[in-house]
Amino acid sequence: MRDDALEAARVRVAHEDPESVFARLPLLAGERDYDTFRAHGACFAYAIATWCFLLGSYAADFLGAVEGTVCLIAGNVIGTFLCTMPLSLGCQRYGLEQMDFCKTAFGQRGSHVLILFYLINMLGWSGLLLVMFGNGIFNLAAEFGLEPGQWLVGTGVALGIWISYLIATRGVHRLGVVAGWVTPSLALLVLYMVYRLVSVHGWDNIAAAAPLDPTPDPAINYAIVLELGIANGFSWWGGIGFLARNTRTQRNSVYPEILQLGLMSGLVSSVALFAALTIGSDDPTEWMIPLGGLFMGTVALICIGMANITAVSLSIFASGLALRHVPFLRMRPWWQVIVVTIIPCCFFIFWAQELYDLGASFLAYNGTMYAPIAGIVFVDFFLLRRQRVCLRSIFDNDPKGDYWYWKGFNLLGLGGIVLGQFVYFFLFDPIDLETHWLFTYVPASLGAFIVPALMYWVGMRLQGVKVEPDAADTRLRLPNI
Amino acid sequence: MTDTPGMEPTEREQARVVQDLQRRIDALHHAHASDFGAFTILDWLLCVGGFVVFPYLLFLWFWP
Repeated sequence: MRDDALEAARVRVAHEDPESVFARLPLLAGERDYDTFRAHGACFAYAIATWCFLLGSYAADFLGAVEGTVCLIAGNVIGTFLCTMPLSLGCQRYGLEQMDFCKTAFGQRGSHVLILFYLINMLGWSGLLLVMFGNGIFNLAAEFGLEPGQWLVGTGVALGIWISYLIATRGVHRLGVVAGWVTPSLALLVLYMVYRLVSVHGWDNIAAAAPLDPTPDPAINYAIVLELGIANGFSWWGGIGFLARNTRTQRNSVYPEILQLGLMSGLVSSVALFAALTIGSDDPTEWMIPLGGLFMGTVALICIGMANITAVSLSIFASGLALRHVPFLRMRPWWQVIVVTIIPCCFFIFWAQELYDLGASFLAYNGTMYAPIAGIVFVDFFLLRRQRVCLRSIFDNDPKGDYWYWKGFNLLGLGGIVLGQFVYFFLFDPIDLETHWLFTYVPASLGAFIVPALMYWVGMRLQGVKVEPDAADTRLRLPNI
Repeated sequence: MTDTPGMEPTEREQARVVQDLQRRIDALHHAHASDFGAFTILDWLLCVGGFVVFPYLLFLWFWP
């Protein structure tokens, strides 16, 4: 999950306009907010966030400044492009959220499986940001002469969960205001980091700094960081539909997303990479005081802490909205839904550092989740359906509808997701960092994108599945709104 | 489902949402593609060149 004014806007829509059923109703052309400037602004807010610090710090384990920057930027841009194109053009044209848009490939009920990936993504990021919040408290206490134990990190995580719970259940409508100044603050912080890094340490020292924990093979290190970048690009999947459906033109649905979510995110991650290499730590909360001194470092840590809590609150809130699709939770009180979303985060209280150290693996795992989905949706929308979708069938549970398939599931699409996972792990094990020799030629995310997409395309053609929407029939029979 | 007298409030609300959905589907179905802006072959060339080919060449250029 990604924090920002964007999620705040999503929250606002659902909060103020409940009849939109979590903003599911297709948006008409005249209802869309984002012109070119606002589309760039929303995407910029999405891109500038503390997970960029995490991505850069993980890259610092494997590569130096120049090679790392190349891989982070190239990977982010390529991954975002592949993820964005079908969702942007499709969701923009039909005013849809991506969960509804993906019904064409996965079926009416099959698309609900994607909610699981969405939740894993959002709650995984939340956990990592909560530990960063706890680490910030730990490091601040240490700087002020205390001698805290590691228990303080877990306590910080618990505190972060509690504050996020309060915000998500009571004050989320004010979160948009907070997010409105957190993003500019982070942008200023990044500029300040660049200034301090270059003025104090100098570019020559930054470029010469050795990676923190590389593998013995330079090619593998290079391929791993490219993979992290591509996987990070794919991990935008959950937010693209919301952005695209709010844009007025197709170009505004594509260029701001790739330039901001891909390029800008890669650039900010590169600044984090420089800081990690120069300070010699992959923990972003350890950079600020050495970079800015006690006063500015403390201000920066407080800023990062608030950004993290804002992001986690929005993540938990958005997860709650997603869980409203589950029949058991549809009518439960809101606080109970939020508690359900919080339970997985509680593991981070007790195993904070252990889970935090798996952050790079989690980031790569985003590739296994979203790369096959992105590949299948790409083929489905561009090659099979030629960018024509039956809007009525998306909102209709009629078994004769175009996207009903087998009991609401398209087994080819869902099987493709499983196949993508196998392909990914065949090429690259993100936990043990074991690689197949092909991995240096084909990034695991790209393999997990291409193979399921080909399988899906061939399977759908062989099955002769109807791909042309019925031009005359727009009447709903069993609406599923 | 249509809004008719004798419905419960929740049913009436649901009927209203469905009517709104139907209205939106009809409007989007009959909208012209140009209402949503153009994305031409030149855009595709720019995107593929700038966001796939160029980054990949950059990646290869710095290959260790």
